[in-house]
Order: sequence, then structure tokens, then C-alpha cells
Amino acid sequence: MRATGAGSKSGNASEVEMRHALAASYQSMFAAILLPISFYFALTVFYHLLVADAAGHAFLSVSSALIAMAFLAMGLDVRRRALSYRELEFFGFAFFALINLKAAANNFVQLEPAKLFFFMLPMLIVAIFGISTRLVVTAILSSVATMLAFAS
Amino acid sequence: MLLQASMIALAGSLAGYCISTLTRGAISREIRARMTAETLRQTAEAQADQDMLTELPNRRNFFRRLRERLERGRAGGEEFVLGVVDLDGFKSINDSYGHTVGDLLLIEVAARLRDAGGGNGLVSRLGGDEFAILIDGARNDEQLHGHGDTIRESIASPYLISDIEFSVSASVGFVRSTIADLDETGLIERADFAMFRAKANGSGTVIFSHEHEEDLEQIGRVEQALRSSDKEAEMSVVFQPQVDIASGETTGFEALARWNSPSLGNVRPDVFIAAAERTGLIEEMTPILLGKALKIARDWPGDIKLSFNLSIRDIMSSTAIDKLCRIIEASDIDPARLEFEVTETLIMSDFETARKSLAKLQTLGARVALDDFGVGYANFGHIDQLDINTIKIDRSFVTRLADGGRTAKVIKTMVDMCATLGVGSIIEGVETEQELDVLQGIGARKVQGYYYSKPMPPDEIPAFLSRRFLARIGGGPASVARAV
Repeated sequence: MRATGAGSKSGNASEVEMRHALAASYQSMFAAILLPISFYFALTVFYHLLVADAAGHAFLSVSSALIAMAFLAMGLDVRRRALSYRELEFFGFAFFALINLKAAANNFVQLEPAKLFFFMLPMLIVAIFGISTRLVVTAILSSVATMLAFAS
Repeated sequence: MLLQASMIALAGSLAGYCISTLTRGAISREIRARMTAETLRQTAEAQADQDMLTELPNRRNFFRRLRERLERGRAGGEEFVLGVVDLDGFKSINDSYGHTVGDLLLIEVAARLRDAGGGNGLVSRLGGDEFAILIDGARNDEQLHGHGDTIRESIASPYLISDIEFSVSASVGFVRSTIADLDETGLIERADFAMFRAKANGSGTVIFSHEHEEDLEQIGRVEQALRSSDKEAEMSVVFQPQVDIASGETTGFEALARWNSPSLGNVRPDVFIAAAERTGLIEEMTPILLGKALKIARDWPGDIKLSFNLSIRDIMSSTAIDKLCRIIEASDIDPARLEFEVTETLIMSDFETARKSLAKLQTLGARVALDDFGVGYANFGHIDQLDINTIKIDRSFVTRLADGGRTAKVIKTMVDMCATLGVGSIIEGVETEQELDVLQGIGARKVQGYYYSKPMPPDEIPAFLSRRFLARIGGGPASVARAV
């Protein structure tokens, strides 16, 4: 009993250390992509305002601006302090949700069947930079579901 | 379009899942490898810092922590006390019961020390049977003596190891971090000094003081002067006669070393011989002194013996003992006239090596005497196993004769025992006629001491022997003494 207890304790300690090390590794990767993506969304603000002419692009421009600011805030926060595994996972969910919702909003405003595969791109980013399996699986299922919903 | 989207979704999902699995697998493997390497590094570091036998911090670790503590002390005035604990007679336990029992004893001692001293600080094994304790905070003398007593009482409780019950005592030396501006080595040296003082005077616990600092400086000066001394020119030998009480005849002389240092003057033999043993210079000194003693003894009458003291380093090194044998062989003196004196403590430090070294001297024809008998182990087995020729009964018995009691009977028992074993006996330290009378009354044969003569330079020996001869013709031992 005692040995099992000790073993389990040691196992937990090792698991905690592993998660800590995973968070440290993924944080640096996550930090590397957040600011460029934030910059990308900042650019799309101007695209929606200046280039696109369909109705609803003002809404898309505002949402791009909000997403750009959210990613900028996240990027700065990720660079400023060490995040825990859970925090990184939460940031991953938020990252994916915002991009996926923006893609959905784009298609609500102007459905472009030829560009539906764009739903796969944020999923692939999360697949590379997502810290947990459940984050990646959620991203895959959500992307597929959203894409198929628009396809149908 | 739905079919096309489904195909893209399927392909994208598979690609995403594979990318995720590969990325996280590679990162996890890298992290595991790093963690394993880190764990191994930490384990190796922990092992390098730990004493494998007792699982206490080892010497290296202790010195590092001591250095850190000293630096902290210098920065913030934080005081602490360093203690050194050494087991008394551990060597004999190792020799008698074997190293396995000795190791088990050390493990038990370490556990007791951890309980007794560890609550207040760090306990560590410095090596062998020597442990160190760091106690935080200032302590007055009374508190330190109390702490020393607790440690010694804890160690002194009986041990039951491999069905053998035995006891062991310990000596403790303390030094305060504020005694002087010292590094870790200086502090350990002082704690060691206090511990050796405790061991030497049997007081159990000694706290290093400013008086000890002066002694230490004096020792340092002596060691320094000894290192740079011209031993051939500065070292000399004096001789104290050994006399047969009944006939008044001088049977031999014990050679005693003297050192007249140009910088320190005449240094006490106990001081410079201890320094020579500590520094290893004794190995250089003994051949010089033996050579001088042999050269002088060559001119004595053929029936006069020469006694010569050997130190631990002389008999623990086969090179040193072989050198002494060569000096004897080259001296043109009959080895049967030579008697080499060793103490029991010296023999006990490594019995087997001592036996082999003494056997080499005996093979040449020299005799072996057991010096200071009765105050150490008084182990009769040694007399038998080492083929001892003479026993020199310690001077402390003669000193106690004046107190009455059973001392005379104890001396008589030892003298009778020697006679029964066919071993010669010499009683040391005879200073008065009363002492001589008592010794004569109990059947003692040979004595040595100031009553007959204090140690004399070689040029006084012919006159002493002439007076002895005249006295033998004209009267008994009392007249010999008067003549001297």
C-alpha cells in the first residue's frame, strides 16, 4: 500500500513536471505566432473597410479589429509571464474560437464555397500549436462541423 | 459541394490530427529526454554530496555549506557554532569485530547524531569516525557543554549490532564562527583542535577559546621551524639510565630526543615530537636520532643496552622500518643490545602492520618493549602475539604510590605477571628514595627515573658509569643515588 502510494505520488509529481515543461515549450511557440496573426487581423480591418464593398463588411472590420486587439493582448501576456498548462489550453480555445467565429462571420456576410477549406487553416494552426489533445480534437470537430454546415 | 467539403474536412482532420500527434510527440520526447538528463544530473549531484554509508552530507557538501554560512555570517553578522565529534577507540572496534560491524556502528551513530544534534543544525560525516555539526545561533559555554553532553550521552548508549552489544564514547570540540575571521578550513582546524584536546584530557567536550588560539599559533611556529630545521645539527639525544635495584648496576639507557632550535630555543620534546608526527617529519628525524644514539652507544660497555622510542609513523611504514634496520646493520653494534619501545596505542592503530614491523627488528636480534603499560588497553594478548621482551610500567603508578591504597599491590601484580611470563619489567618515574624502597619491597627489579638520574648528555655517561662502578664496590643503591 505504502509503495503504491509513493509510486502514485511520484507519478503525479512527474506528470506535473511534464505539464510544466510542455507549457514552457508551447508558450514560446504560441508567443511566436500570436503577434503576426494579430497583425494579419489588423490588416484585414483595412481590407474590409477599403477593399470589400459588400454589406456587413463594417461589422467584419470591427470584429477584425477586436480580434487583432485580443490577439495582441494575448501575445503580450504570453510574452510577459509564464503561463500554466491550463492557461495555455484556455488561450488555445479562445484563439481557435475567435478565428473560427471570424471565418463563420465572413461566410455569413458573403458565402464563398470555394473558400470553405479556409476553415481548415485555423484548425491546422491549433493542431501544430495546441497544447492538449482535447484542444486539437475540439478544433478538428468544430472546423469540420462549421465547414460542413456552410457546405450544406 | 457537400461531398467536396466532406472530402476536404476528412483530409484536413486527418492532416491536423497527424500534425498534432507528430508535433506533440516530438516535443514530449525532447522534454522527457531533458527531464531524464536533469534527473540523472541531480541524482549524480546528490550522490556526490552524500556520504554513501550514513546518508549524511559528506565532507565536500559540508565544506560548501560551511563556506556559505560563513559568507552569510560576514554579510549579516549571523553567528553559528561548528562542532566536531570523533569516536574514541573506533579503530579497535573495527579491528576486533570487523569493518562490517564498524560500518553498522557508524550508521547507528549517524542516526543518533541526527537526533541529538540535527534538530539544531546540520549533521555531516567528515570521514572515518569523524562527524561535524553546524548549530545556528549564538550559544554560551554552558549551553555548548550541555549540547556536547547530549551528543556524547546519545552516542554512549549501548549498541546491539550483529548480536554483539558494545559501547563507544565520543569526544566533542566546538568553535564559534566569531572566534576570528576564518575560512572554513581554519574553522574546522580549530574545532578539530578542541576535539583532540577533549580526547587527550578525557573531558568529553572542549570549546575552542583564545587560549587555544595561542597554543595553535605556537604549534604552527614549531611545525614551521621543524620543517626548515637542520635536523642533523639541531637534534640531539640524551640518555636516562635504567638501573637494577638489587645490584645498583646500570643495565641500559633510554635515548630521548632533544631539539635546540635557533629560532625557538629548546623546544619541549612532547611538543616537537607531536609536531613531527603530525607533519610526517618524524620519519626523517628517527633515522638521524637512531644513528646518533647508536654511534654513542657503540662506545659503552658491552652489557649496557640502548632503548629507543619508535613512533607510529616509524612502524606503520615498511620503508621506514627497513631504513632503520639498515642503520642498525651498518652500526657495528650488537642488535641484542638494542631495545625498541612502542606504546599500546601505537600498536592498536594497526596491529598487523605493527606486528610485522616489530618482527623485522626482532629478526635482527633487537628486543621490543611495551611502553607506558597499564594506562592504555593493557591487553595481555599483545605481549603474547608481539613476543614482547620488556614491559615498562607507566610512571603514573609510581606517582600514585604516595597516596597509599592498592597501587603498590597493582604494581606488584604487574611485576609478578612479567616474571611469570618471562618478560622483563622496568618501572618508570622513580623520583624519591621512599618510592624506591616500596618498589624494592614488592620485588621490583629494574627502575628508571630522576632518583638515579635525569636524562644526561652523552659526554656525562662515562662519569656516571664510573660513579656507578665505584658505588657498587662501596655501597647499595642509596649510595649510588647520593653519588649521582
